[in-house]
Amino acid sequence: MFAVKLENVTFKYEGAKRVAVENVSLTINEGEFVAVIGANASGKSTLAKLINGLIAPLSGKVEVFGADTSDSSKLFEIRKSCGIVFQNPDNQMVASIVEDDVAFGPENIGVEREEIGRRIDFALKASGTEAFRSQMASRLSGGQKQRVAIAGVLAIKPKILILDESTSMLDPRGRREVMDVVRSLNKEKMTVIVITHYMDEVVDCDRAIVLKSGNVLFNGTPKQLFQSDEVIKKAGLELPVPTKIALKLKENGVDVGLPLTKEELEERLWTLLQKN
Amino acid sequence: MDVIAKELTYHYNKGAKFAVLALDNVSISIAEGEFFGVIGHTGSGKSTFIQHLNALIPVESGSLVIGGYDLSIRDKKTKKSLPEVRKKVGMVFQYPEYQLFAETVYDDVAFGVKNFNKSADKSIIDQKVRKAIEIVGLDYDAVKDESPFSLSGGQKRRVAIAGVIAVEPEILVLDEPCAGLDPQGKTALWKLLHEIHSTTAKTVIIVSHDMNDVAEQCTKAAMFDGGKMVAVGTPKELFSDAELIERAGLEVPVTCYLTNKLKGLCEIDSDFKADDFARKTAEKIRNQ
Repeated sequence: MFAVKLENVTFKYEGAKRVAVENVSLTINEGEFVAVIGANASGKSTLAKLINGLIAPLSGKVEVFGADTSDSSKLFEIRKSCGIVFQNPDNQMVASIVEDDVAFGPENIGVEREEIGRRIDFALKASGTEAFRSQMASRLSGGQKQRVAIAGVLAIKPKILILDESTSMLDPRGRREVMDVVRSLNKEKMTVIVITHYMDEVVDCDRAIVLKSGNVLFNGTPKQLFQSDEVIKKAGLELPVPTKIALKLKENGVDVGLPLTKEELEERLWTLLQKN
Repeated sequence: MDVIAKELTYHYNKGAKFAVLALDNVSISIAEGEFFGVIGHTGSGKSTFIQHLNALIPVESGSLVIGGYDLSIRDKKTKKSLPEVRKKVGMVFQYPEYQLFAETVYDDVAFGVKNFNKSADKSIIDQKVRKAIEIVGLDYDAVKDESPFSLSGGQKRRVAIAGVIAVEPEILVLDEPCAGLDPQGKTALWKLLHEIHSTTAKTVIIVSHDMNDVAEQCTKAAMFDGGKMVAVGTPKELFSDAELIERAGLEVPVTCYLTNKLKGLCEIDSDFKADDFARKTAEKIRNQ
């Protein structure tokens, strides 16, 4: 069974001139790590909201683990299985103390008291935020707050975690903290969907889905994506910095292929320099 | 207008139990004409520093002189000169599009100009607003009567920047101008900032988290850590001490990372811009 399945999905916001998502079909497997990228207003966030049933498609069908998001009797289950972490860390804290904030979700869905305690322990541990469990959420850094926001989502025990530009307001250290947590959750079989403008976050995903004006422009591995000049140009994306440097090396007569990470580029330069 | 700070120190909630030392003895000179980067992780003191530059935060101790204005003297004359300082030092905050408020793009951009030029004719205001909107790359006649809220994210940010440059500041300060923009919007904004730098504002000061950008774009940069300014110099000078950068919680540019990793095999003496690094590395490979 697919974690997420979209069939010819179209959506238009009320009063909007054009559709936000148009005739999109795609599937995401359980345990997959998928990046959704594209320019502003390409439909990325709409896709996230469609997946956890915050909005229902105008036409077509969205299924989460086989449950149709248009079926209101299934919505509660769908939202439980699919957690979203948003952009602004300050907008996602509901309680003043970290552990109370994490408890908010499970309390809301009527989890028993002892179980809530266990879930808080689990969520704080998995997000690396145990150290601040009794601290004021307002006194944490942006990266720490976003990890608490992830903990809040984990306490619901979702099967799918969606990050909607969740690292865009963080500094490099905060971004790394959040992405490390997300990667380790994915290793534990969590399905992860990352919506991002950072190409270096796309590089180590299993798959990249590129949207343009509400349509799927590309669906394949990051490697294939960054090899396709046409897609990069059309979608208004950029290459990861190491790839850009590799292209400049090529202009200077040195072919190092198309490395996506600085480690890959380092290895190739090392080989070239040693060979000579 | 040069910016000269000497032993600048500032506490939030001074005197209270929760007092926080945000700036600790910061001495720094930013010469007119620089495209100056201010770097450091969250909470390092960089925003506190830039808020001093147009007197949003008063000098607590130490001194701060901007052009002819000494902001550390607290007398009536300095107080009276603050509007002039704020006119000459334009400040664009993080996510400035959240501060758009007027019904039309024209009114939003004109707000600052009108405030600073209370007796000016409408025709002069019109001219300044038109010029600012055109500089940020928007079509004046097409957007002037639109609601700023109907524009895209990138366009909104341009309108917000237009509102500040319409006042014609000599120093333009921007707190993370590229945050949240898509790659195309980001590239376009860098280009725009360099255009502004070469036409209207003499000095541009930007806060950035992306060291690759700082290496490519800035003439000089200062690094903050724990309220102290721990390093200042050209990107080449600054990034040559990778350990210092990492200790401050930042990541060195990719070019700098590679230079250090390849040190055992060869010395690549670049300015850490991708172009220069690629040229010099290719040279080394060919010559070996």
